[in-house]
Amino acid sequence: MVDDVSVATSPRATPGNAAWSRLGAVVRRALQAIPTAIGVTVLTFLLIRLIPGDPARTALGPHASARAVAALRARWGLNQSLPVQYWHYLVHLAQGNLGQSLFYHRPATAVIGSFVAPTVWLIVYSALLSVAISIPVAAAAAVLRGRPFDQGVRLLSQIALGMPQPWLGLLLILGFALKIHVFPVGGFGVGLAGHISAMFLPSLTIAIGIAPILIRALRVELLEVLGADYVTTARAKGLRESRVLLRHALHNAAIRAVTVLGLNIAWLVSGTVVVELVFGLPGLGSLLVTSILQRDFPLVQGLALLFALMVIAVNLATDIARSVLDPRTGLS
Amino acid sequence: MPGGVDIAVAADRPAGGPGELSSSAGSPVRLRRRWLHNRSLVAGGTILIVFAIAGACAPLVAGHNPLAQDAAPLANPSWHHLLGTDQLGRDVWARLVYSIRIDLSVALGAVALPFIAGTAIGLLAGYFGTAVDALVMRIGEIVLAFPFNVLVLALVFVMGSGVVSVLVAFTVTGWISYTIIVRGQVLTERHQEYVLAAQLLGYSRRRILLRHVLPNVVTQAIVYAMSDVVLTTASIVALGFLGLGITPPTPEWGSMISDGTPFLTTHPVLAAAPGVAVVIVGFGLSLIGDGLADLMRIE
Repeated sequence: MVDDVSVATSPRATPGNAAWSRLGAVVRRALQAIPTAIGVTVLTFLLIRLIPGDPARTALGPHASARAVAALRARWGLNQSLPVQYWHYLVHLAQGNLGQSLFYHRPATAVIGSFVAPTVWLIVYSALLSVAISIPVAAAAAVLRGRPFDQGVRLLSQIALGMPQPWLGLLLILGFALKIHVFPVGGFGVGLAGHISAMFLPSLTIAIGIAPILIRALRVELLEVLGADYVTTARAKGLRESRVLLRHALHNAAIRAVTVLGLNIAWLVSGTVVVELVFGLPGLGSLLVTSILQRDFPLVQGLALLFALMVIAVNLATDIARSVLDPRTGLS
Repeated sequence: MPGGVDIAVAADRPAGGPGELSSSAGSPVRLRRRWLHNRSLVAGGTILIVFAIAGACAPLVAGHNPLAQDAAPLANPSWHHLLGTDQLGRDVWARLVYSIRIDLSVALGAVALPFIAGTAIGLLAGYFGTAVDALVMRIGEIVLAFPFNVLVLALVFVMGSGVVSVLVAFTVTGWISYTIIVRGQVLTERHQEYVLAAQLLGYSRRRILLRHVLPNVVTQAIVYAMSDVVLTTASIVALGFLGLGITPPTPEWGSMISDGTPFLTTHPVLAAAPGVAVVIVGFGLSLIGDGLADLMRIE
């Protein structure tokens, strides 16, 4: 494979050395994520404390007794100094304790745990769908550069970017669930086949939102690759165009897709919040919105933290995956 | 701005060299002609102007009071009610037209504020470097770790829903994208000869930053803002749909979609029409963005 040529960046590097230095880079990159993660905990910690007035009073509502408010203040440690409160928050976090949900009267971790599955499904499913849509469309647009197909893709991408997600979701429900009964209207489904069918429309909603960004980046990448020397060489060797495209160009395009998807993972995860509500999925996003409406502070705090840590972890994984797929790019 | 989304796209565009705004490419007349010959810009501009005029002249265009509940509920489209009425007997067309005012102005504000804040921070961080720069980029990384909707919802949660909360939330989440773009440009511009010359002439830092560096670094940020505003408009509508943005009964596209949801099978126009309006506005904005990017590349 062409990329292998550039693995040995310095003349003295042996395969063993290269592997070690790459491992070192991975560890260094992982360590870089730690300050960000700590910053995220500071922000989620401050979230409750930023609420104007007495958070305990706001949480319990105007009809709560003074004693109940005082008890909650004591439980949340609101009477202590901020650094002390933060330290306790960190210690609890280390123990996996996110506090007690005010609405469910159960530990927040347990509540969140019971809502995780649909969100994880949604993230993975929509990431796969967006790649499955983007690569062939971008490849066709690059090959047919400037032709009506290419211009049509460009036009549709521009339109898709401006679609509000809930609206797109409703249109898909109307078209594929209510008019022709191909998919269920909402819900998580039962069993693997049920999940795959029930989660298709919600995942497609997210995928359509993110595909224009992927297609745009991939098309540029493919146009560059198709003009590269090694592709010309492959053509000169008499390889068929389809083979050139599949074996050489798409490999690089796939790396680019992973990178762009990684860059936009926060956006993708963000989309789950709205889409879960539209499709009535019992996931973390709908839990977040209902917790906000119910002013269930510990749950909101825990969910915000979880979402941010998820993004940090995926960013890290993307960087590592990219450096493995394409040894030329270092870890930043 | 929503997440870190289009940074990659913005970065795909070739960076302009110094002096691109202070164009030396001919007279104002030629400049104007080039703007008018840019098909994307003209088409996008036309769409947006039509919407802006409709919003500004809403009482004339709408024909009904958007809040009045005086017609039969869920009436089908007719000459009197162009798009029919909603479940409370309010004219859908009137609500659609009046929504332009609030949705467009909030969207523009939700891009302008992070644009100004992010550009200023990026300018300072890039020019003064070291500690300030490191601190800003660290904070930025933390902001970027939060999925956009999560941070916006959390902030709206802290401040309560309403226009001010939406604007603050978009500023807090959006500035970092502009800072990254502007800072990167400033880092290269800082050592250009014209900056060194200005320093040698003894100009104040403020003058150097605002009069010399800013015009040369702001182009990329403007191009990015144009793609940002498309996503921002859609996000504001999504927030309205969740009931966490602009509060009812103010006519707003997002809450109109949400109000129309229960009648999806019987009266699909209730939920569909506001979305179509958003898509047309978004399309116009992204055409303008493309046109501007083209022009700035040429200049």
